[in-house]
Order: sequence, then structure tokens, then C-alpha cells
Amino acid sequence: MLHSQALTTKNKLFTPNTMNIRTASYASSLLMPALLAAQTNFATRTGEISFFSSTPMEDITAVNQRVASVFVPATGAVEFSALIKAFEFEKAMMQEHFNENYMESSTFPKALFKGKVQPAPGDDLAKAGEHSVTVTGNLTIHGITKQVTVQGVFTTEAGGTLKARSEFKVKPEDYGIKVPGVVRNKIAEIIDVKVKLAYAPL
Amino acid sequence: MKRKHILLLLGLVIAASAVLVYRITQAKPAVAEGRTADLTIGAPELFTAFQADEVAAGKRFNDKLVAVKGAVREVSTIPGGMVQVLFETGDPLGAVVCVLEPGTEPVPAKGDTARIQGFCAGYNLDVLLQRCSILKP
Repeated sequence: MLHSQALTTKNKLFTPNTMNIRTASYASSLLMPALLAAQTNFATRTGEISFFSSTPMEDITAVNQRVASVFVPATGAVEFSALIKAFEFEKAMMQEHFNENYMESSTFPKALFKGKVQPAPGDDLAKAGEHSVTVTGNLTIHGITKQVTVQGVFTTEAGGTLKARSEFKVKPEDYGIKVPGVVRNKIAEIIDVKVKLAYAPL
Repeated sequence: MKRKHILLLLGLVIAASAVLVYRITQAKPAVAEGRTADLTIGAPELFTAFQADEVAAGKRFNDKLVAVKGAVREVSTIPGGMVQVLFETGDPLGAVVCVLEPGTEPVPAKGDTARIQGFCAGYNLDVLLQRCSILKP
């Protein structure tokens, strides 16, 4: 889970391509009294991203349940990081082609998103219920970064849990992902992506 | 008669090839159960390798069947119902996470020393092993 008891204990440096969840954790530990008075930051290491490709020839779905994410309500900052090799497919061959031929996951091991919820929800998230938001930021896939704007919903639940979900579309071609002609009719030109995150307070 | 035999043989070859292609294309991703690990390492050493040099460790461990041994920090169920075992690494901020195949038993408990093998997917705050099985201590 979050190892949240440990997240406030240690400061570390990161490699440039590592999302700064640790930084956020440490910052929250320094700011904790103020945050408790006002707002809390949220994080998860078990978020889920799934995608779906549908063509008349074949439907392909894959799920990654090890997505790390941090969300700072005060500023609206949100980041997530997903290992490409952590996407699980129904069939081994799909998984192999996805990693080796399309995503080149040995060279580009992670998908990253760094953006902002607009407007920053601030104290609004303290109210139980659903809160529709717009998220704008940079999505990096296959080593290529594009600015994206997506719609999402935060759900505040009793007990301090904050859930987030979003559905959007990604065009592989925009990220330099080449699909060979021989399988072109098996892979959709636009992929449906779903994000589900169950945040816990830091 | 000879031509009939040739056609029959050709038909059998085509049928066998079709079955083989079907099996290859429909095969599920490999699971760790019943396989011999490519690499064996302590959980703290595996975590340290990724922290020290993620790229080099990725080349060495990713996609390999890795057997790890260590002290169990936590056992929990993730959304979707999969059970994960987290190994101590010496760093409270990171773990070696082993996601067990459904139905894997016996699941070790917190504080146990355990051996688990799974396919290494890389490092994302934790080191992730997938489709794991429990090994005898």
C-alpha cells in the first residue's frame, strides 16, 4: 500500500525521470501542521490505468494496477507514473508486441503525466460527493511529451479517501508509436484510456 | 493412391500448423509457478540495484524470472482482488512488491521470511515482480 507511516521520514534525491512523490511526501511532512489545519495531500501506489483498442478484427485491453500518483489539492498539482511493463494483457503475444514493437518499453520504461487540476479544488474536496474537474498537463509516452486536457471526476468519501477517475483518448501516432501495416487493422487508431485512482491522505 | 497420401499428409501438416499458430497466439502470459528462476537475489539487494542505477538494473532484471528472499513487510489486497507481498528493503520509502497469481497459497504473513519468484517489470518507487509464485523457504 502506501507505506504512509514511512513516507514522512526520509529525504532522497531522484533520477530525473522519477516522479517526485517522495519529494511531495517529504514536503508534506514539513508542512503537515499547516496541511492538517487546511488541506491534506494525497498519494497512491496502486492506481489503475487501463486501455482499450477496438477494431472489427480484434479487441485488445490491458490493465496496469501499479500506478503511482500524488495530488496536491491546494495547488491542483497532479502527477502520475506508470511502468509500461506493468500493463497486463490477456494474451502473451499481445503483451510481447506491445512492449517490444510498439512501446519499446526497455528504452521508454514509463508513462508520465504532470499537470494541474483547473481550477485548483482547494477546500471544495472536503465536501463529500463528486467534483467534476478539468486536468491539463504534459503526458509523456514513448519518450514523447504532448500537452493534453482531459475531464475527470474526484469523489470525496467518508474516512478521508479521495477517488479520481478520468476517461480520454490517445492516438498512438501522436507519440511516435508505429504500427506495422500487417497488424494495422487489429489495432485502433485511437485508444480509449481509463484512469482510476484511490488516493489516501499523506 | 500416392497422390491421395500426399494430400492427406499435407492436410495433416496444415491442421497441425493451424493448431500451433492458434496456441501461440492465444497463450496467456507466462506465470512463475513451476519455472526455474533466471536470477536469485535478496530483496534489499534487488531494490538497491534499481535505486543505484535504474537503467543498468532494468537491463539485468526486467522481463527475467527473479527469485527474491527477504522479510515480509506487508501483505495486502490491491483493487481488483490481487494479493501483493511487500518485502523489506532497508529503505522505508520503497519495497520489492510481488503480485501473486490468483489462488497462490500459502500466502506468507507479515514478519515471515519468504521466497517468492516473479517476472520483473521494473522500478516505480517500488520494484515490481508480477505473476508471482511462492517458493519453499
